[in-house]
Amino acid sequence: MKREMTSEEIEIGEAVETSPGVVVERRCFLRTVALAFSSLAVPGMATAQLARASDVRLSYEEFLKEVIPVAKKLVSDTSLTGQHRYLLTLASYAVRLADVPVPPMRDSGQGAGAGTFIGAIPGGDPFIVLHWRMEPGTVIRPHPHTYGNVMTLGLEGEIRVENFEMVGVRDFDAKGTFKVQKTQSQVLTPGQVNLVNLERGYIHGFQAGGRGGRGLDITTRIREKRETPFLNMSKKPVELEPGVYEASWGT
Amino acid sequence: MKHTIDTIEVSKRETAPGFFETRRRMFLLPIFALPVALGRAGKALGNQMGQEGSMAGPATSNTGRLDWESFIKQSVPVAEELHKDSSASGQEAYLHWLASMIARARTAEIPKAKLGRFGKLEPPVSFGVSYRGRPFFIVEWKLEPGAFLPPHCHPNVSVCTVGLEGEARIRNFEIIGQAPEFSSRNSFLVRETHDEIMAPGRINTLSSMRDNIHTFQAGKTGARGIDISSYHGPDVGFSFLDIAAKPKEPESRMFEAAWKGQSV
Repeated sequence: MKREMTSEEIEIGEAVETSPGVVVERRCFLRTVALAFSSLAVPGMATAQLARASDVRLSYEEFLKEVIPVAKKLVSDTSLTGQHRYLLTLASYAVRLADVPVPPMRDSGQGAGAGTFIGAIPGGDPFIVLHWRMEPGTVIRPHPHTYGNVMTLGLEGEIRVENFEMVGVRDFDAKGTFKVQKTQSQVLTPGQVNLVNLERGYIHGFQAGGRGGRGLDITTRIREKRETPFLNMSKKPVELEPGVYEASWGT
Repeated sequence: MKHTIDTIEVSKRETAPGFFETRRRMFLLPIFALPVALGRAGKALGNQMGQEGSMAGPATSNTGRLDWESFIKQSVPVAEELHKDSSASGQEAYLHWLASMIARARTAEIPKAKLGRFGKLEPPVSFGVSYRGRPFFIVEWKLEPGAFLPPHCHPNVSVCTVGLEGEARIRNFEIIGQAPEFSSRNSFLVRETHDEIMAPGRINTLSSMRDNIHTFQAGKTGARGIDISSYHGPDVGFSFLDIAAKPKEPESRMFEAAWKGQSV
């Protein structure tokens, strides 16, 4: 556990990350505000400065460099709230990403047909980064995330992402039919994110628009790996509100 | 949160359906106050450092939960910095960071607002301001069972909506092409970009550049939540909309819409 520090303990010019994304830099006061308040001279003032406070885009390497230390600090809290914080924090960095080079891709194995591709990008700990591409009109079948939470970032085109949860007790081994509730339907465009918390919206599926789409899945394994089923779902809701569908697990 | 900068009232505006915020102009920052202001920010972050340190260690399910005072103390200095970037990605970073902080707050400790009924909506919808600050202010909302808050836009504003009780359906829309002036009753197209369930701990965000129209439909038990709102540009008012019940283009979820003013 870090002890509490005062600004005076930081050397002038030294930067310390006080919380994810926040860097406290002790600056010579003159250097910091002299231009705006030239009549003032109060040395030794610590000012808070975010690593990125303007519309500066991060390269993939810069993104990793900034986000990995933060992710390592936050990943151990796997509670609902902890995951929420972890994913939202990742998102606050990821939304500043410039485009990311496309790695070699293979068939995703998750499509309802051909035309969906996926490839891993090196780097990442505690997470892995998957780059995916969907051709126009293609579908990634709804599937649950049982051991890894996900922050999905849109990079190109347009994808409709839907999230679901089982109604009642969550059971990935359930036989026969059960009910799922659609908790979100979202149009994912470049710079936008969709989050899969293992406690919330943990089933997701993708439908590409007319231009197809491309994006990243930043996946963090926090539970024991297990086989992932697909979700078979009725076309229409069994109840009009609040979007409840009959479903079963399939392969 | 005490303001260290004095202000002067210049105008009043309806910042969200049902409540007014007084818009103030900053006095010139008293020169002697600047070191105090900066010192507070530095100290707040210094304190935050100590608290954040615990997040690096073995976490339990409740590690890092913030009481209200800590939330404000830790959020405001960073929010002020992030808020300076009003670009699309800047607002996204701001919103997601703010969401990551409110996700940690103990929701039972969020100050309860004095709620007032909005318009003549039946079942009733109520609003109240639970926190006035900069760069964000917080509006509490309460929807009685089955209540419907009509679609409305938030020009130049970002909103982080957090569910606290009950369940509501929240939908976001974006304007396709150019919308007419608020005074016009001509129709235009909007696209549904989000349709989701709002429940305790769930978060929905909109920025001044995406998903800027939202509407709420309460479930059988009603719903209560907060909107953490921030201005990213000048106040140009807002308007409710009529949006057709059925989409004009079902595949792309495009609907015909028309402005309907500020009263419902």
